Amino acid sequence: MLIPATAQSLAKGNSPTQRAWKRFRRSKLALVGLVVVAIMTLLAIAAPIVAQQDPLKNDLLNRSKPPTVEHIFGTDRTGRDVFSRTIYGGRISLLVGLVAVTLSVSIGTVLGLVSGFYGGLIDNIVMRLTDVIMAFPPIIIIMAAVPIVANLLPSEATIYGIMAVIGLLTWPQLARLIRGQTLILRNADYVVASESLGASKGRRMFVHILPQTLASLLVFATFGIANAILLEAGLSFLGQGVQPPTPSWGNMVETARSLDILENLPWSWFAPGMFIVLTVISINFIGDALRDAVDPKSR
Amino acid sequence: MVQYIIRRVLINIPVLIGITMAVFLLISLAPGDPLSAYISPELGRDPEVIAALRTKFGFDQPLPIRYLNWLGQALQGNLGFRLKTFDPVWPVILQRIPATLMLMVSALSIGIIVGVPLGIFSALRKYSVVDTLLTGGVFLGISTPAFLVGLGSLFVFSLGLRLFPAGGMHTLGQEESILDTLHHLALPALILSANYIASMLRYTRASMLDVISEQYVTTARAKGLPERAVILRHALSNALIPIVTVIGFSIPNLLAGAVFTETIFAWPGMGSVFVDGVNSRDFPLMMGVTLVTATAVLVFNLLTDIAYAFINPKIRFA
Repeated sequence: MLIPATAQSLAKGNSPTQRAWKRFRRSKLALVGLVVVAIMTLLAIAAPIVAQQDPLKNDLLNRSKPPTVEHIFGTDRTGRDVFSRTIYGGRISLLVGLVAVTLSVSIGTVLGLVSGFYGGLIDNIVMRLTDVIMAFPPIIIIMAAVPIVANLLPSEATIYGIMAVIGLLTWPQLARLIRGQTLILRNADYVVASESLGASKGRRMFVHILPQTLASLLVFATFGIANAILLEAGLSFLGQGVQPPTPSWGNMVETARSLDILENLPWSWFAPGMFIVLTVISINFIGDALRDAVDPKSR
Repeated sequence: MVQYIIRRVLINIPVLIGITMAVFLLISLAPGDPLSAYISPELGRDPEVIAALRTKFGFDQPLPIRYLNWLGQALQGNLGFRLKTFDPVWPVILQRIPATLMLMVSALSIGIIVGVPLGIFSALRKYSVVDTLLTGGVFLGISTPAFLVGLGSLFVFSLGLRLFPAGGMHTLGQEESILDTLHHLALPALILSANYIASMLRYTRASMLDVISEQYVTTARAKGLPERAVILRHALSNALIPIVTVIGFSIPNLLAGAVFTETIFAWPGMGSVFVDGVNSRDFPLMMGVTLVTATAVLVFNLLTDIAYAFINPKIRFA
């Protein structure tokens, strides 16, 4: 079965990517997730068009109003439109996810490659570093680091500090993953062959080994975005993330820590809360299907 | 086995040193004078006294020496004083540990008691309606942040149905009783376990599916054993081995989750005092909790490794 299938796929020009996409498409949930994430991204990009009302403008005549046609998610304690705030909040949440993961993927990939490729002392140092970082409970070390980083930055740059801290503390899992694969790949025949043809270490690592790890890298990045969004939301919920009045999903839910708002203005925290869950669960569906699609064990 | 334990302990020593270095680095980078954390309340803030203390504590020394000084103090249980209240940090944390442990152990137990049987069931009825529903529940469980589950339950059970108290560990003005504490513990423990039930279920299901396709399970069936014995005795006991490691690597997330649950329910544990510390920029307290939790994670990981080797001879003799 195996050989004819390969021959057939060659004839049809079926690349591994196309085959992976075919497996990915089998998961209905992942396709739904893809649509949801696309909508969330579009809403965030087109926020000024979608949300006509000013997310920061207080309207004291329309305070604490339940959802109406004019304010479809209602208004909060100071009369700000919850829908606008949720849409603008999405900009921050998604941006944090994207930037933090880009940083953590870059660090994790490079350190994983170097660690696995060189082995020895370098490998030992990098691996002990991952052990140290992974020993800290995620939200605790991030909460401890953010005020310190924020103190070094001007207050309007705090959000970049948060992205940096999340990125700098979430790379170890990927580094381990890439290291494990590099350990095997560096002795693969094609890599050894390239060495005998005079390929430099850098070329072997980044041109020959790296592409083979892209599949697991992609899966990690997908789950990583969901994780970073949750971390930012948690940080903002505890009052250390995005500072009001700038809306983020986390700091909008944070207002419900007051029992009065929790009980009497459920719409003001339910909407951003649902946006968090919807986005994160969609990304997790995508990640799960992606993992199955690129996993050679699942055929 | 003894050799294995010694090896595991030795491997963890550099990691522990790394943890203390990381915490010390954060302390050095924190705004404000790190010395202020070590001035006990009765000395006051006289500049002359402070200058004398700076020399005495070696704060005028280079970084590596300061690190060793700090480490020496930390090993003796001196983590400095809180900036606002001047309480020594270590006793404050020590006093908070039992409440956090109580919450975590309850959540862990609920996670195992609920998650493992559901995972087995889900694996045995692979792709059935129940399995699909449970898998959906798992995704919801891992995608919903603890604080949202917390607020939602507070809204429904405490404010709406008035089944549970909205916070604290005891009813004020009432004599402390076990029943009262359990009543206060129920909701936060259930919420903390939500995430955990989901991951337990997921891993048990995967592990069970792996094991069921093994040849010894087929052999057991071929011998004519009843399905119940095949599943419970032959498959389950092997499927549970990797689950032990799940308990271990869930500890950091459980501690992180406790920060949220304790804050929402005003549970007097390490998490809520940590958030107080962060809000008031009480760096000595923050760093104390960070150090204690990371060390705890390390110790739990070590215990899990040992437990894993204990039940899995393949590791012990490798």
